[in-house]
Amino acid sequence: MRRLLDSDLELLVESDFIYLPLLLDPDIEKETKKLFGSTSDREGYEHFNTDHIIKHRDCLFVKTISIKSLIKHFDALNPYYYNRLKSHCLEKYQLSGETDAIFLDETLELILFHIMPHFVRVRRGLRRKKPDKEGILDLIKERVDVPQSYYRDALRFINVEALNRVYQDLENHRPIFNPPENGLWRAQELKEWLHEAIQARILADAHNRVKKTLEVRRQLTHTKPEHIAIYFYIADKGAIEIDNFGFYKMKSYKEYWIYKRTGQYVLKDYYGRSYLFPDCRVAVSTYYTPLKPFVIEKYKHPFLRGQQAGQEICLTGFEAPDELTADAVIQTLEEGITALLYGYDARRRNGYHSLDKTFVHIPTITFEDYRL
Amino acid sequence: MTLLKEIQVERAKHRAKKPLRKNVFNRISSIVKQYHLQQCFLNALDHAQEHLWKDDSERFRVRMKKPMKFPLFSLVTQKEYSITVSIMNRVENPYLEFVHAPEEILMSEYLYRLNPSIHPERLMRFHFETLVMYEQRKRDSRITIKETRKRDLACRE
Repeated sequence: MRRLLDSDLELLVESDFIYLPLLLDPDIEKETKKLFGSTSDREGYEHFNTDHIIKHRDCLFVKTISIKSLIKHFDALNPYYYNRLKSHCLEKYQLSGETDAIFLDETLELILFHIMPHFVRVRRGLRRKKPDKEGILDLIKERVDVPQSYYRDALRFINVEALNRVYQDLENHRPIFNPPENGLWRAQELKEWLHEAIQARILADAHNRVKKTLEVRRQLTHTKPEHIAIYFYIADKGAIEIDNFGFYKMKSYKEYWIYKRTGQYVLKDYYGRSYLFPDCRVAVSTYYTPLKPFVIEKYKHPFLRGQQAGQEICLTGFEAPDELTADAVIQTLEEGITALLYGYDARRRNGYHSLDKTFVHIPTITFEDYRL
Repeated sequence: MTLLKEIQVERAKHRAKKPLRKNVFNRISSIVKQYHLQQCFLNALDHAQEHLWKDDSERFRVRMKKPMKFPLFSLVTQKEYSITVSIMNRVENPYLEFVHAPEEILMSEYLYRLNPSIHPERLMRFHFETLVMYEQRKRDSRITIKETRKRDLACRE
């Protein structure tokens, strides 16, 4: 398609379809001569029995692509060129698409305002009440060093007037898609027309986006810019850690890993010898249910089958919750941490591995390097 | 052979796949497309015969035949189609099946008249200009031998 529009061919546009010059060989020529019973609609046009071939000014043209379909699916046909055009259009109107989504992320809201307060110590002073959303965001602001650039972006973001003007601008120039006139077009001319039509389509799509964005931003007009800056920081970095509690936003769609650090801890073996285990992060994924705790790092422990990263912790008597709720996540994390720190029974040597060497079987994982 | 077997053999023959052969149209249209031949080539074709008959044989030289890939199905624009058909109508000789370049099209008629029985393998292998040079020298040497014999006879008399 690209080569066609960059060529020096003459194309025929008729009833929203592109007609290309018909290529011939002796058999095709015979067939076109057989197609008699042509009806003349307009001067210079002859349609044969089907409307697939048109004779215009003694040249034969064959029906090919629908122009509407070409515009509708252009993003799939030529993604690079379409994305370039789109970036140019959106840059012109300063639309930040993905950033708005962070304010509508329910999982993030759950983590920040329902799970985090359980794990993070809030200095309430004389107050007895649990901190509200503002209080939690103030806490994050105190504990996390958010760069000034996010604060500046936040100030621009809450400036609704600018976006209102953009919306009015789009309303007034509401792009109207006019089909091209019927007749002969040079390929380059048709390419330019197509360029304009696709921009019009992008703006029409952006029009709805601007409307939605305005609705989101109007709800945030009373929010402090520092708090909005925190959201931008999270959207950009995808992670935050406060008081050994934190979360990661994974690249896959809306998956978060919520984790709590165990800190260093000591376990004793059958003979009372101590083993110092390093710090690790016990996490829960919000994407997969039932919720099960796993260790993020490459780690070894009697309750972990191997020594690779991302191993599930062996839990007995624990029914993994199916629904993603704050209580379920808190319970799962606590169960995982409890199992690692307190679950190992030195006398029964429960778990996949034993801390001390037994002579029953050859151990695959040893903990000699942890012995104090 | 029984009647049944005869019918079976006949039907098998009809069902047998016929290989697609590249025809003259494919060849000429490919050359027209590749070399962007225009109306002026047809004018040159009309005058080619006169020039070739008049020209000195020393003008021709040995040339390599450029290999060219011809497509199985050749589709051309209306303009190219009309030029191709015009060439095929003006140059109606069996050597047209072996041309690889426009200059060979111009020389095919002349070569055919010089020697209409050149083996197809030679036509496929050698450039027409080389063959024209060869045929002309052969003809010239035959003429020279005839004239020498005539002179000898005249001298004896």
